[in-house]
Amino acid sequence: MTVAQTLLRYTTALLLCSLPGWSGAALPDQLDTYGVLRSDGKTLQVQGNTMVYAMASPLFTDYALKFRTITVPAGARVGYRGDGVLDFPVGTIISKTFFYAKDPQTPGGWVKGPSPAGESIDLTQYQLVETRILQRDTDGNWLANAYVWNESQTTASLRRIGQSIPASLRDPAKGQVQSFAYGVPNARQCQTCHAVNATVGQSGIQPIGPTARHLNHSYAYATGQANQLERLGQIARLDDLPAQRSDLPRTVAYADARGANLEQRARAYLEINCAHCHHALGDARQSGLFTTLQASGSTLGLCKQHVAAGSGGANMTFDIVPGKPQTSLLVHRMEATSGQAMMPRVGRSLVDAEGVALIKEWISSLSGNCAAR
Amino acid sequence: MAIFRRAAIAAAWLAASTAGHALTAAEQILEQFIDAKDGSVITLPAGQFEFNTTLSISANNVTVKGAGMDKTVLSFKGQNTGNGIDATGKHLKFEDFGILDSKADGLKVQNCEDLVIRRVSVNWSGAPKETNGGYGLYPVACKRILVEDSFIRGASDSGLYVGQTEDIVLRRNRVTENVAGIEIENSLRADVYDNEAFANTGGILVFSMPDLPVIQNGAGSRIFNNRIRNNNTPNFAGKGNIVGLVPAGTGIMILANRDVEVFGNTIENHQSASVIVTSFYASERPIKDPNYEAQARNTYIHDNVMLNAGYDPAGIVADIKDGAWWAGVNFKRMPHVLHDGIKAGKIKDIAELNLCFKNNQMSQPQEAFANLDLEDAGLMKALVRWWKPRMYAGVPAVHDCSLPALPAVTAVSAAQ
Repeated sequence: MTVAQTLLRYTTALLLCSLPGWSGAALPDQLDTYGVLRSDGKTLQVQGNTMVYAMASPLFTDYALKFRTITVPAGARVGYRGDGVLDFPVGTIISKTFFYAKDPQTPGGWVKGPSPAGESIDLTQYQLVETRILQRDTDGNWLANAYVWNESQTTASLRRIGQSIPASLRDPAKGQVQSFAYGVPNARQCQTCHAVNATVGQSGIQPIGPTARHLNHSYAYATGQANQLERLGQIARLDDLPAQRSDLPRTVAYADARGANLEQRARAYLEINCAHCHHALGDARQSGLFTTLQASGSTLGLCKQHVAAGSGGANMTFDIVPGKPQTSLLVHRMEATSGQAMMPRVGRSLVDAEGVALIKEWISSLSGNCAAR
Repeated sequence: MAIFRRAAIAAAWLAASTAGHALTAAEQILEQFIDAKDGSVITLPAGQFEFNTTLSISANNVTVKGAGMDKTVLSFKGQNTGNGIDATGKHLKFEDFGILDSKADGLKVQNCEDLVIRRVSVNWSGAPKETNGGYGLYPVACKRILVEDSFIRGASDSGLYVGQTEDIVLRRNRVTENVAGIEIENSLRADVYDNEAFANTGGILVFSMPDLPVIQNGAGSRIFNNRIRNNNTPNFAGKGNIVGLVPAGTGIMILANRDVEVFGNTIENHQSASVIVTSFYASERPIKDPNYEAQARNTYIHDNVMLNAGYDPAGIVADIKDGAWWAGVNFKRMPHVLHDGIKAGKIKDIAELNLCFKNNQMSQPQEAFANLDLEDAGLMKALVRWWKPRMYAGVPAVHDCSLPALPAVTAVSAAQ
C-alpha cells in the first residue's frame, strides 16, 4: 500500500466515522485494534484500562474456557444498578475469549479441564479460538462481533458470517474423545441472545453477564483475591455502589453444591443458559416458557404443555413433569445434539453432561403431578 | 486417525485466517441477511444454495425476493439444527423462493407487523416423516399478515401455521403431506379462503391452547371456499404435540376456539370425519391457565359440501367407534360432523355453545352428526350405558340454528 493510499483510506475512515449513525463502517478488521488484548503467540495479556472477570454461573459453550474483560475509558463513570446490566459509558469494550486446553496426548486436540486463574493466558498450554467483542458506540448502542484467532495465536480477524470449526475434546475423567463442530456465531446470531427486547424489531442489544449480582464474586487477580465490583471501581468511577457489601445481590454458582441448595443452583443454571431468550421480552417469548429467576408454575414449565416444539416434541407432553426427568421435554431438549429438539440452538453442539445431571436432580426433587383432574 | 483430524483442524484454521477470501454465492446470501437494515432488499438469484446455518433478519421494511419458488432454492440439508429463515420486524415481504430440508421450521417470522409471504415454497425431501421440521411457514405473535399462493409439503406438525397473531389472510395456498395442512392457533380474526389442502393428516385446523402468553384465547376465524380433500395421511407427528392427537382423515377441526364460521368449502374423502368440533377437555390434558376458555363456542358451519367421510376412522375416532359398541351404539360409518359433547360441569346445556349448522350438503345425510358424549366415555360407563354417544340423521334440533356472519378481515391492506 502506498503512502497516498494509506492517507486516502485514513481520511475516508475519519469521514465515515464522523457521520452520525455511521458506526458499523469503522469496524476493525483485527482484534488488536481495540487495544484490549495483546498476544505474542506465547501469552495473551490485557492492556489499557482493563479488568478481568469471571462468571460464577456461566453459559455452557461446548466446555470452552472463557477469559472475560471489561475496558472503560480512563476516568469514566459506571452507573451502579442493583438489577440488570450496569450502566457502562460510551466507549466501553467487553471481551470474551473462548479457548481450550491443548491436549498433550493428541496434537491439535483439546482436553476438558478447569479454567486457569489470573490475568493472562499461557498459550503454550491453551489454544485461543475466538474473541467476541461488545462495544458501546457513540450513540449508546452496543455492537457485537466475533474475531477468530489464527493457528499461531498472534492475531484474530473479524468474522461476521460465523464459522464452524471441526474440533475434538478429550474428557480425561471418562477417557472419551468427542469430535464436534465448534460454532463461531455470525453477527446476527449475537443479536438473538443479546436483544434488549426481541418483541420489537431493531431494539438494540446489551451485555448479559456484567450485572452486579454476577460480578459480586471474588477473582484471583495478580495482586491477590478481590471482589470484581471493587476491581471495577479501580478502573472506573463506581459512585453509587452500596457501601454495605452485604446489600449487594449475588448469583449462586450452579456448579458448587456447597454454596447453594439444589433449587437455587438449578434456577441459576436455567437462567444463564436459557433466560436470554426464554423471558417475556426474549426471542422465545411466544413459547410461554420463561426461565428467569422470578418465573414459577406453568410459566417455568411445570406441567406446561409445549405448544410449538414441532418435531422437537419427542412424544412428551410437558416441559417439566415434577419428579420425572425422563418424561420432561426440557431435559430431552438439553440432551439433543441435532434437529428441532436441540436447545439452545446457538453456542453448543455437545451435551452439558453436568448441567443435565443438575436439572435432572432438581426435577426429581419436585413433587406434584400433571394429571388432568 | 489423529493425523487426519489434525489435518482437518489445520484446514479449518487456514480457512479462518484467510480473511477477505472470496465469498461463495451462499455466503454472499448469508452476508446479505446479516447486514439487512431497515429498507434492505435482498435479491436471491436463481439456483440452489446450501446453508448449514439459519438465515436471520431483524429489521423493518425488508424484502427478500427470489427468481421463483421453483427456481431459487435455499437448501438447509447440511444444517445440524435451526430454522431455515428467522425474521422479525415491520413490513417484511418474502416472495418467489423455496426453502428445502430445514431441520426445524422453514420460515419463522415472529413479533412482526404487516407481513407478506407470497409464492414461497417449503418442502422436505422424501416421504413425510417425524424428523422433518415442525412448521413450514410460521408467522407467530404478529399483526396483519398475508400468506398467498404458497406451497408447503412435509411438515411434521403444520404446513402453514399461524400462532398468536391478529388479522390474518391466508389464500390460494396449496398444502400437502403435512400433519396439519393449515393451522390457526390462538389467533384473532383470520380469513382462510381459496386454499387447497390435500393428503395431509388433517386439512384445516382452528385451535386454541392454554399457557400461551400473547393471545390466551383464539377467536374470529372464517374458513371459506377452500378445497379440502383426501387428508388421510397417517399422523406422523410426535404424540406430545397437540396435532399428534388429530385423527388421520380429518377435513376440518375446531378446538376450543370462539367465533368460527365455516362455509362454502368442499370437504371430500376423509376416513375419520369431515368436521370435528371439540373442547380442549377431550385431550385429557390439564388446564392450569386461569384465563383459558376450553370450549369451542359460536361455531357456524353452513353451505358446505361434505362428501364421503367416516368410512375407516383412525386414531381417537377409531377408539370411539370401537368403544361405542360396548355402549350399545353401532357406528357402521362415522358421521360427517363429530362433537365431543363435553360439558365439564361448566355449562348446563350443550345449546350454550352455539354450535350451529345450516344448508350443508352431505353425501350421507343419514349419518350427519354425532354427539360423542366423551365426558362419560370408557368401558365401564359404556357397559352400564352411562356413556351415551348419539348419532343423528340430519342436524339435531339443538344445533339447527344460524349465527350472524362474521366480518371480513379488513386490516390486512396488501390483501385488498
